[in-house]
Amino acid sequence: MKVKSDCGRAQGWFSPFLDQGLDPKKARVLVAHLRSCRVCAKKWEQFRLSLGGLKTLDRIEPSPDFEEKLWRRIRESEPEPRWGFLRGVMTSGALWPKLAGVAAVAAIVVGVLIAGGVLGPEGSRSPYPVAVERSRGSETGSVLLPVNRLASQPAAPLQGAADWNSPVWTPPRSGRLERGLSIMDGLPDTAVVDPEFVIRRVRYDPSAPPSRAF
Amino acid sequence: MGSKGQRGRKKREGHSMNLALVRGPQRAEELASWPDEDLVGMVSQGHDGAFEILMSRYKSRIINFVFRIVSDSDTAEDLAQETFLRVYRNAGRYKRVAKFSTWIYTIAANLAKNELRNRCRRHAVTWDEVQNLQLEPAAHAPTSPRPPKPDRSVERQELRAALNQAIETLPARFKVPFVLRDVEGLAYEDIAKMLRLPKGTVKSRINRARLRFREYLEANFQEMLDAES
Repeated sequence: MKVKSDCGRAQGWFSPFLDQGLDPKKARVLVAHLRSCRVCAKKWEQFRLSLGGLKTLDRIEPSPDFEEKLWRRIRESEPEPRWGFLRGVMTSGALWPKLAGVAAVAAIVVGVLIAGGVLGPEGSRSPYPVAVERSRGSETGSVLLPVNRLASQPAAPLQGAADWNSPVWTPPRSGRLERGLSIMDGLPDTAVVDPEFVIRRVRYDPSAPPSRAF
Repeated sequence: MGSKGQRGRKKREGHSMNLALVRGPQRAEELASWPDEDLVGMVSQGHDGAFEILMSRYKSRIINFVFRIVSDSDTAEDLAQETFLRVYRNAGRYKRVAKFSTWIYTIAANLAKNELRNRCRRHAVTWDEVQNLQLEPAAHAPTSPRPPKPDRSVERQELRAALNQAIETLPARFKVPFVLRDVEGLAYEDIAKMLRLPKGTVKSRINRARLRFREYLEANFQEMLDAES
């Protein structure tokens, strides 16, 4: 039956026609058919509207704590830093070579800070060194950096720190960490000695000796 | 580390702004205008701010896409978080041959399909069966003439519910490409890359999905369609 087959064929072309992917010759045949067949014209209209309606479906909103949960999940899934520098220094054998390495890095840091004029007699000195864990790609490590003025404002600890006395805290993001570190006048704004490193975490380490050199 | 570090160094040199010198708030604003692919590069170098920007751009889209597949909002959110976790962990492996959106949707689609597959196992149904399974029409589908309703917004709401239902009845092998195309609005080429299928196969599955979608609506919600058209 010609009419039925014409309608069947026309309705089979709806989908590519909607995507403007129908051959131009077939498209002309389809348009002509839709003008003459009310049934197919109605089906086309409903097809178009129903697919168009998909774009207006109610969208679910992420829960308010989506990002917080995600960051927690990320932190929980992160492996321990490969170097575990500070703990390794304090707890493992062959201490002196590692201490020498730490001292060398600290000396470089101090040199940079002094040269940059950020260290000086002004400002009170924090008795506590802060271990800054930094990463570059998958490489992580810790280095002792001097804290100059932090402890002078005990009511305003490092931004993001829930409790300055807690042994480990992690700021929610490195951007905030960098701004937090700028509160610590003893450090450069991004606290980056080597620009290739990005600060990942600042760790208060009560086992580390107070930094007297600064 | 050498080659990766060098790539990172070159990338930074390629930008006119030396990011190490940019202060905090300015950096966030500056990054907000960066394309996704550049932000992923920053994420791979440990820049969490870049990751947060990507999250804000894609969080809602990914949750809603996964929701359309798994039909459960809690599961959708959980899988969306897993998607972002994988993006965060594997940012260093992202290759610029594909758009970032293609990459993240691929991860999300695979997680959604795995969820459906796991549901099969829990219900002792094979994945092949689910791929082709078409659910029965809902028991509450209207069969008797509706009284006239003057409130258009209620009609629209009912239509949306009908559309949701129609999507849910689609077999998994059609539902995923169908949602990617007709709900998320992605291009055939991108969908083909995501699903690792030839473009012709993607088109064919979407055509068949649309046909089933239309048939389901006609069988169960014809009056509603008539009212809308």
